[in-house]
Amino acid sequence: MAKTYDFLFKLLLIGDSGVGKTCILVRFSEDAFNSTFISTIGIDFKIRTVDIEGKKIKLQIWDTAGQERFRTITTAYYRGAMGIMLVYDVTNEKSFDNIRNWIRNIEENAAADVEKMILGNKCDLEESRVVSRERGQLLAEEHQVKFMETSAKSGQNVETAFLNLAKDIKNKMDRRNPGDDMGTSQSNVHVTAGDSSGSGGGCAC
Amino acid sequence: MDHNFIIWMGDLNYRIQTSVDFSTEIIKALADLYQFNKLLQHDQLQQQQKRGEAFTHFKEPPIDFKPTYKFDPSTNSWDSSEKNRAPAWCDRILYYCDDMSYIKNLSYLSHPEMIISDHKPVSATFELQVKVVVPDREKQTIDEISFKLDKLYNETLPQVELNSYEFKFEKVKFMVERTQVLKVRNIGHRPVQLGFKPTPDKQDRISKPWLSIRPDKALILTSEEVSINLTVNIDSDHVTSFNKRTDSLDDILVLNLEGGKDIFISVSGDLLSTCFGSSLETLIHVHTYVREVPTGQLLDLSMSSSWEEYDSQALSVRKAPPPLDIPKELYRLVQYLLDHGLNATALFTDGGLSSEREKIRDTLDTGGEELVGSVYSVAAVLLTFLRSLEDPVVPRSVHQRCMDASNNPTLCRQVLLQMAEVHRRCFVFIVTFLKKLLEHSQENKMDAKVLASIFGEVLMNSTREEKLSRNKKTLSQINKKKMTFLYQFLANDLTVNYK
Ligand SMILES: Nc1nc2c(ncn2[C@@H]2O[C@H](COP(=O)(O)OP(=O)(O)O)[C@@H](O)[C@H]2O)c(=O)[nH]1
Ligand SMILES: [Mg+2]
Repeated sequence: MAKTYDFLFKLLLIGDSGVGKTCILVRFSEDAFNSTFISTIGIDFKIRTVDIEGKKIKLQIWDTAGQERFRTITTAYYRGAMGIMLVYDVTNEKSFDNIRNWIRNIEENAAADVEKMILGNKCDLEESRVVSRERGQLLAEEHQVKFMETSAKSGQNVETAFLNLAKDIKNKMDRRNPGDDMGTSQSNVHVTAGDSSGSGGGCAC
Repeated sequence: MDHNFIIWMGDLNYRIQTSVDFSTEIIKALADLYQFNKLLQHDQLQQQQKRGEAFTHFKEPPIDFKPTYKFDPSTNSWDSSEKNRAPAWCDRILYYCDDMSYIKNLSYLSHPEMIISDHKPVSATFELQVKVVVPDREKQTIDEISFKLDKLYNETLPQVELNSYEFKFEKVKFMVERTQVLKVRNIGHRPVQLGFKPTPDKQDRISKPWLSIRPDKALILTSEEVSINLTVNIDSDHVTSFNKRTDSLDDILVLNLEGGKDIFISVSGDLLSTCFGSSLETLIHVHTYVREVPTGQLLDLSMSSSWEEYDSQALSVRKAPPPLDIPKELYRLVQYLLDHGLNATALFTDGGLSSEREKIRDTLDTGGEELVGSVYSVAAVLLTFLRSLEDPVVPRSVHQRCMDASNNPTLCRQVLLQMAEVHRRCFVFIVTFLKKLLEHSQENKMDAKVLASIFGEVLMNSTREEKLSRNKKTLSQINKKKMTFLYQFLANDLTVNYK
């Protein structure tokens, strides 16, 4: 069978236990939400293929156990990641403070050029919010990474966040291999041309 | 069929069936009178279509023109050649679509004005409804499909259910194996190959050295379950690091499902304090029983009041009782053998019973009144006690000197002088005991060589690293020298002033 994607990106979700990493992943990969909390005890992954600028990009997203006692083991998984989502819970001050520790963890264990993004999750819980949007934004600027507030419950920004991170990784890749740009635009044309003939026949069956 | 629409046209060469009653001349006449319906009843194509023999699903627009064959070339007159062909609709246009409502015929004509051939051309026009791609809808559809495929893929990733993620081994005893069962059930849609991953914090082992996992690989078919034994056994090799707090009963195992996730399994617990794996220096400060001192705190005892420190500080700082001459555990074991085992043959090679050995070790650690068991079990525990000491009775720092001196009794005696007090006391104590045994060699059949060989090894025990790093030949030479060193004390009177 032909390869069903052009690129494979490995992404990692990290952050304190309970901030909503697993829910964010389930929202993104299954468009579902479950409010019962089952602590992740290990490293799990799901995939989702997305289209970015005409390229099929398979995202393999690793969800990690956030508990402190697993810290030394989980950091061993940082190495292969091309992008990392740092997640905190806007209703939990401690999880926000810990983002600094998580960033230090990344600096010590992940590839130096890994793309990062900070997510303030549970933004649907406006009434119990303790971390303002502005503080999240400031922290992100301080570390020169993108920032977004998400809700795994309502789905707000979840998809956008992943697409943004994937796009940043792809852009970096394109900059590194400028030759590929040609390939991208050519295949764009090709895809459009193929649309009318190719899929016309295919879909009619 | 792969096609949405099929237009089939050409000289299909079907004729109007002639017969005795239906001659060429009649056909020509009917054609000239535009009596097409009468002629079509004899049209071979329409007959075959009706009988389902050809072009069954095809349709043909209604024919409202004269037969298109055969004319004299360059004229509009029927064939006048000798063959006198009957006119026929040879040239036809048929069409087909899965859903005939998508195709509509607008015209079906012949063109008699064309006279170059003996055929007249036919033409038809159709109106077709064709599918076109709406880019936005297409993208949406592809996204939906790929989302569903990905979801399906995620659902087929290996899935298991565990009976527990945490295993607690409480109150583990030295050298007593404890096993708990990890049950892994395959609740996914395909067989799962599982294995344990080495982790960097364990020097790339899958578990700490005192924890064994059996089996550590397994294939589980769907809905089936495997049982994996997690066995903790803290023996002489590991107990010292527990006493020194460089190790503890904690481990995180990484259970990997091939092609899928990793699951963390926590192992925790505690080792009951034990005299085994401790040091002589520590044990002489334990007046109560070891079990009453929490694991790891044994170390503090020896550090806070070493022998010399005690002398100077005893009055002011801590009113600790004076240290014992030798560890009471060593004393109890040897005394028992002196009382009951002097005449036993094979005292140190029999080994006794493991259940008895366990009870005896417990009694030493808990201060039970009596050692219960055969002399063989007690003798085996004595050897274990000596072998597991953090630093053996003859300290490692003097091993080389012992071996160098081994052929010379006087030099051997000098080495004894270089040993720290408690070590020297214990050494002399054991030598005295062994000599006592030799006094009974008539009954117990032991001789000095055999005892020197058994005790040379435990009194001057090499570390595990030393054993692993040397080859067999070197090791046997080393053991020979250690044995000779001890033999000098059994054969001569070298300890008399130290008793
Ligand atoms: N209201 C709200 N609850 C959320 C959201 N995301 C996660 N949760 C809840 O927070 C708890 C922890 O979520 P989980 O994804 O398991 O956290 P993880 O430990 O980071 O993986 C669960 O009870 C979720 O239902 C969110 O966006 N909004
Ligand atoms: Mg989780």
